[in-house]
Amino acid sequence: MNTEQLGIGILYNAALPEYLKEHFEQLDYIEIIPDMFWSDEGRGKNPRFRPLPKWMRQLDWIAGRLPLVAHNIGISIGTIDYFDEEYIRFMQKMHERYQFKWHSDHLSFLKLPTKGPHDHNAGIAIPVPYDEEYLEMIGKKVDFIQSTIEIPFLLENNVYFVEYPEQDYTETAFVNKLVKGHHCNILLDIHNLYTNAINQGTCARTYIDELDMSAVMEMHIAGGNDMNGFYMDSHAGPCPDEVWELLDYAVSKAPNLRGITFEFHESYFPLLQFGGLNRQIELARNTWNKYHHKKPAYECA
Amino acid sequence: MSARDFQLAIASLIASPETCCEILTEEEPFFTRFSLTEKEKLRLHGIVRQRGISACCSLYRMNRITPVYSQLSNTCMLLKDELVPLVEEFWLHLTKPSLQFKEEVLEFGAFLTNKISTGAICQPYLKEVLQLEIAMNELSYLPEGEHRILTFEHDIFFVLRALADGSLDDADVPPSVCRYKIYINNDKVEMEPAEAE
Ligand SMILES: [Fe+2]
Repeated sequence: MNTEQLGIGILYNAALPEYLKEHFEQLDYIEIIPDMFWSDEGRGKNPRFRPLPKWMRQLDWIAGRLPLVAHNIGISIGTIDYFDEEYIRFMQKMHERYQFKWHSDHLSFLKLPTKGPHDHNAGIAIPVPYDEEYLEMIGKKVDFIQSTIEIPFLLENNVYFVEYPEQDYTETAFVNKLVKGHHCNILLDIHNLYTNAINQGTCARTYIDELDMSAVMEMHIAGGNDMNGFYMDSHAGPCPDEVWELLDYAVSKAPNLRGITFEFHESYFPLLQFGGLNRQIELARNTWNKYHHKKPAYECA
Repeated sequence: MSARDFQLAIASLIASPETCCEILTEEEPFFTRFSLTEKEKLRLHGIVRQRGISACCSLYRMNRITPVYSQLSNTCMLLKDELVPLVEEFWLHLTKPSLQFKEEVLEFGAFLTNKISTGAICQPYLKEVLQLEIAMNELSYLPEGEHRILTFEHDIFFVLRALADGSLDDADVPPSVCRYKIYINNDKVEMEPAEAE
């Protein structure tokens, strides 16, 4: 699959419409969480997925100006005995309409099956244990997703606050096996690595050295804050200096990178304002240009 | 069943610091609820002994209160210190949340409405502010053109302004019954006086 290099994007949130009206030309793409644009009425309902009018109008406005990338939260790829094929097929329909360049979800589980129309939501994305059993189960789902939606599918590395004892693989070995066996790609969240380094004492650079960086198609960057003795991946405004340093290191090793996405939570918009947001985009672009300044050949022709 | 139960068990730990303590002090009652292998039991033991479990529990609570706080923000402001105990009681009652904003907000709204009708909460303007926010929440999921007609017993604009500037506690809001038509126009909530029934 030949996916074009996009550059710098931003994860869409409710604080962005005003900013985008004036500044969309500074961005190369917008990443959306598709789950925000419709409500899931529950299994058995017709239609099951109901578009939210206000949000869809915003999406159509963006889609007329910038390429879109989808970042799901609802696949819950790590849930045992659960796979919502109807949700994947609906995503395919969304892709037909909006032509996402790629799509992604997290290497974790969030939903738990129930007998009713709605799944039980675990409230936080819980990392899967990196065991053979999970590798096989996730691999099959990745195969289904990639055969249903024919754009690259990326899995995002986890933030974790607790670690399962006695796992079969490290996270990097687990991800590398998924990439090799099922041809998926990686969304490397640099801020997640930084968060784990602070809370768990892991080494972010070692993680990058161990990971199959040729499969990294997108990177996430963000800021966080302290809460009760932990550093949280709260997307709280600008990226810390260490995230910029790590980004530089990771980008230098990612030959197939297609985009760097800045994530922030809408409640931190007052802290960033237009200028702060532009600054984050500019810093990300400096790193991008340092290693990915060459435009793809077809754009130069 | 066991891996599935393992995931249910972790989710129930993250949703309840009390349950984490239950394993630490008296493990049997917790483990009898799930069908788990020895390795999975050891893993759960390992998890609750790590300090990070408290961060997971806090994150769960933050994520779960977000829909309520963002969609019923004035209701939450009115409830002040009563909010957290009420939310905790609601979570005990609704233990399998979908976390779809719409569902969570409607369920919490119904829970509060019930509390108001039984007299368990007697904040003077709560009923009116809550019904307005519930209607706005419902309309946000419907095509523009849909509307709700609500009856207020006080000047609702005065109440909302006083709430926003922190003067509601000292304000004397005279009773004034009025009906409004609530609808969304160009993404904005509009309210206009409605004909009497
Ligand atoms: Fe991320």
